[in-house]
Amino acid sequence: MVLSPDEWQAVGLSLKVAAVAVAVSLPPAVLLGWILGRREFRGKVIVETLVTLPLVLPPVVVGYLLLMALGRRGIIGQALEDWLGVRIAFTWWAAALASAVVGFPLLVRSVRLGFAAVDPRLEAIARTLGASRWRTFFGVSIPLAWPAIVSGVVLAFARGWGEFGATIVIAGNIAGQTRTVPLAIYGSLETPGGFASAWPLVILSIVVAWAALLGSEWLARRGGRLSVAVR
Amino acid sequence: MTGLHVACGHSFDGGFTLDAQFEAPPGVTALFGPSGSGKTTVLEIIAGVRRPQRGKIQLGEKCFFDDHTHVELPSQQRGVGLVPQDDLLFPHLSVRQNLQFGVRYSKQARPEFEHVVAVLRLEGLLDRRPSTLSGGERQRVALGRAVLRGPDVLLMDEPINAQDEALKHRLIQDLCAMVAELSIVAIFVSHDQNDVRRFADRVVLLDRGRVVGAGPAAATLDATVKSHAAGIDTPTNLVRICEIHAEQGAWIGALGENRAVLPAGQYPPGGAIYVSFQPADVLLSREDVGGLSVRNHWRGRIIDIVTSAGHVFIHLDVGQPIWAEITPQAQQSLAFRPGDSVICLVKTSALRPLQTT
Repeated sequence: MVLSPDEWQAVGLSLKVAAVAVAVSLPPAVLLGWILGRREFRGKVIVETLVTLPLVLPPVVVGYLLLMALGRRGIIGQALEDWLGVRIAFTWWAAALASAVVGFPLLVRSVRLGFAAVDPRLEAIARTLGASRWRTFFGVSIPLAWPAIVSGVVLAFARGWGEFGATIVIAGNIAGQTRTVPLAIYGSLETPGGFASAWPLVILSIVVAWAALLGSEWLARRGGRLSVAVR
Repeated sequence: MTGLHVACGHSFDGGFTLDAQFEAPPGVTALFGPSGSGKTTVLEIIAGVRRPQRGKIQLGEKCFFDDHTHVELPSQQRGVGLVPQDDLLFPHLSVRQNLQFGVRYSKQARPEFEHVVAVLRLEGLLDRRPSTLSGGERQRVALGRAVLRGPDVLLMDEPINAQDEALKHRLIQDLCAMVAELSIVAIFVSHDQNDVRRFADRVVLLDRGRVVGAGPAAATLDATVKSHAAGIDTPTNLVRICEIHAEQGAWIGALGENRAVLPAGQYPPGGAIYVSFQPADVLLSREDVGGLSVRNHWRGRIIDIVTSAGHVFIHLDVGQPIWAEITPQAQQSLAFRPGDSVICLVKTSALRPLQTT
């Protein structure tokens, strides 16, 4: 596929943003997925719906809220700038953060299903064999939920790769800094005569999204077979 | 040599109440009773998988659970080996990894890996996944996993019901030898009277969540026929025939002073086997009768007579205790009494050899 250097830059940036977004959200997503998949508690529905909210909220709203918090005059943004001299809004970190927030529900849902499918009696048996709570979690629960976790990672990655609405609000569209693949495509459309030049990135996006869905589906099926104790 | 003290009480939502108390000394104790009597629950409580509302579980000086002093030792510190009914092998691990799962956490003395693998006939299976194993194979892996962690208490929930008869016996023999060698407490759940009679030193009878009898296995089961407890309203017969030899094309063995004629089959010359048969297959006669096709004529003495739900069970000593079932009408006309001498007639084909090794 023929890509211009700028387009290659957008692809590289999209990969980086999506990867960082997933890496940052994975630990809390695993924790939350485990709690939601395993525990019953008061107000669980509230937590569940709050976690899922970014999935159905207009991404622009997410971007707006992030900008409120992390922008120069935002509560967190101002503190970060005053204390550490760090600016997040309109950097690629902001793009990663936007991707993380919108990908988080997909990750949690998948992880949660994975843990819910693990037979709790397998964990109980591990405990009788001398494994601590912690070791049981890492030695039995995580490996059995692994396909679902990876499936969630793949989906969240694909979502992060294509994140647009929240990104453009909080990160802008700065070439080489925050111009990810969808922003580059959008940029092409705005350029006179650029409509046709967008197709390589469009095809690439379709391939990435489709591959992610296929991979995630395959992992989900494999997980279904694995996590249920035989018999 | 420390025994396990179990006292546990729990009221379940459905109205079922468990209230069981018993001692399990080192050796093999069977937990026997009909389904729904709470056997599995008791095992889970001992293992720490389930918390009872009240009670005390103690192994020697080591307290597993006490609701008075609020002691509750977590599962992983109890040093138990639990073999659940549906084996629950880790599906993501190979057989070898399953077997070794508890080994790294265990500081106790434990049997040698190779030895256990050989005893449980798992040599060819070590690199396979649990999903590729048969039910019997999975059961043996679950047994091995529990034994290899070097448990102080081995808890087995119907651990051998998927094994074929010949292997079952060898397995249990080897397992009992291991239990004796490690001098640990082994408790197995069963609803098969013959398994209990053969393999357990002691039995605890559970019925609707309560202990209705406990003591030496065969004697306790026999005594319970009277009380109908633990779902036992029909006794079974299990005798050990020894000094097996061939005689004029037939297999003959000794049952006390009596001669037992065995059905056609493969037997170890000079060896011994267990044979089971139904009480209804035993005919009683006051004196020995000739001209019958029945091959087994065993001389015996009546120990006791139990009437139960329209059946009359006669407990006899023919060198070993057995039961015969007769109709109330037969008892009325023949008027058997404890101490009477009788001849027991049993067709060869009614005898079921349980072990041919």
